[in-house]
Amino acid sequence: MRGIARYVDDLLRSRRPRRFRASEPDASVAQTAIMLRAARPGSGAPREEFVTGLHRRLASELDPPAPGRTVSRRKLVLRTAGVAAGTAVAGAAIDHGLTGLIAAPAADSTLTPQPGTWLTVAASADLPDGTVRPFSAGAISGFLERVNGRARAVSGICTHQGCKLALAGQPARLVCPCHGAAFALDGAVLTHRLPGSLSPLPRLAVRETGGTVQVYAPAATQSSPGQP
Amino acid sequence: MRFVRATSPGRCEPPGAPVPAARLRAVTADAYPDWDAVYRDNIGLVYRLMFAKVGNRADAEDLTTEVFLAVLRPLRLPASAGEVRAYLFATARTVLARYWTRTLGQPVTTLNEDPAEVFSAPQLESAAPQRAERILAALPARYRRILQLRFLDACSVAEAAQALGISVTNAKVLQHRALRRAAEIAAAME
Repeated sequence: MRGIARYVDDLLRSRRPRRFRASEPDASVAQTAIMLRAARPGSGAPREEFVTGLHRRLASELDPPAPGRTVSRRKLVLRTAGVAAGTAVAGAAIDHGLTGLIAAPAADSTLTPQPGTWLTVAASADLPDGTVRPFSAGAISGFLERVNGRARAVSGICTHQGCKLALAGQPARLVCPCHGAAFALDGAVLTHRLPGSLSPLPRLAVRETGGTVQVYAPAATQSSPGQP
Repeated sequence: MRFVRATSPGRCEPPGAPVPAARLRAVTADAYPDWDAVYRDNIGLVYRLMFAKVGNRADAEDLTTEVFLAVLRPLRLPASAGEVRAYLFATARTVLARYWTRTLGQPVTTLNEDPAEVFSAPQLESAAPQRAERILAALPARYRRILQLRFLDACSVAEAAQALGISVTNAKVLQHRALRRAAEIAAAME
C-alpha cells in the first residue's frame, strides 16, 4: 500500500513518480489516478520549452551537416547512445506496419545463380503477349510475363519474410498473403504496410529458344550432404 | 445534484494561470514534406496522448522524446499524414508498454485505441475529462469532493482538508478510499 500511496502523492505534486512493484489492485488505482490527473484542465498541452528543445535536438540529429553528409565519429557515438532505446522500439514496431515509409535500399537486381543453367519453364506458345503465368524451376519459383513480345521473369517470393506471392488483380500484381505487400510484375514494390524497407523482387534472365521459354536458374537443386 | 464540472478552472490553481491553447491543428494537406512538418503537426498530439497515459509531465516529455527519436530518423518522406500517424501511434504503444514494464511492472495503461480516433482532435481533447466526470458522478458526495479538489482543482491535502472541514490525516484517508472506490467504478465501466 505504501508504494501506491507514494505514487499517487508524486502524481499530485507533479513529480516524476518513483518506481515500485505494483500489485494488480495498485495498478488499477494508479490507472484511475492518472485518468483523473489528466482530466485537469490544460494538463495535456506540452511546455513551449519542451517543444522547442526537442525540435532543436531533432534538427541536430536529422539534418545532415552540409555538405557531403559526413558524420563525425563523436557525433555518431552520441547519437547511438541517445537513441539506443529508440532503435529497439522501431524494431518492435515492425509488426504494426506501414507503407514504404522507410528508405528502401536502391536494389533492383537480377538473380544470377552460380553455378546456373538455362531451364525450360514453359512453351513459348503458352505465353501469348500480355499473359502472366507462374513457373517453378527447382530452387526458383516465380512468374513469367510477355510484354510487347518479350518474355521476362521475376521471383515469386516476397522479399519481406519469404512467403509465396499470389497473382491477383487487374492489372496483374503479385500480392503477399502474409502482410499484404504488392509487387509489380517487373519486381517493383507497389504497396506495403511495413515500417521497414522492402526490397524489390529479383528478376531472372530469360531467353527463348526452340519454342521454349527458359530462365537462368541454379544448375541443380541442393545436393544432400555426403554426395560428391 | 450539482457538482463542479471537471473542465472548470482549478480553484487551487494560481489565479490567472494560463491554460495553454491546444497545439492541435487539422491536417488538410495529404502528405508531410519533411520531418519538421511531421513534428509540428504531431508533437502536441503525441505529448497529450502520453500525458493521458502517465499523468505526469516529466515522464510524458521523456516518452514523447523517445517516440519522435525512434520514428523520425528512418522515416522516408514525403508520406501521408495517415501513414505517419499510424507509425507514430504504433511506436508510442511500444514505448508506453516498455515504460510500465520498467516502472511499476504492470501494464497500468495501454494504447489500444483506434489511432484514427485518437488523432482526431475533438476526441483527444475531451476523452479524459468526460470519463473522469462520469466516474466522479458515480461516487458518494464526499469521495467525489476530495478527488475533485485534489486531482482537478490542484489543491494540496491541507487545502482540501480545510475545504471539507476535516483534519489532514482524515483527508488523506478519505482520498485513499475515494480513489480505490473510483478505481472499482472505472473497472465496472470498462
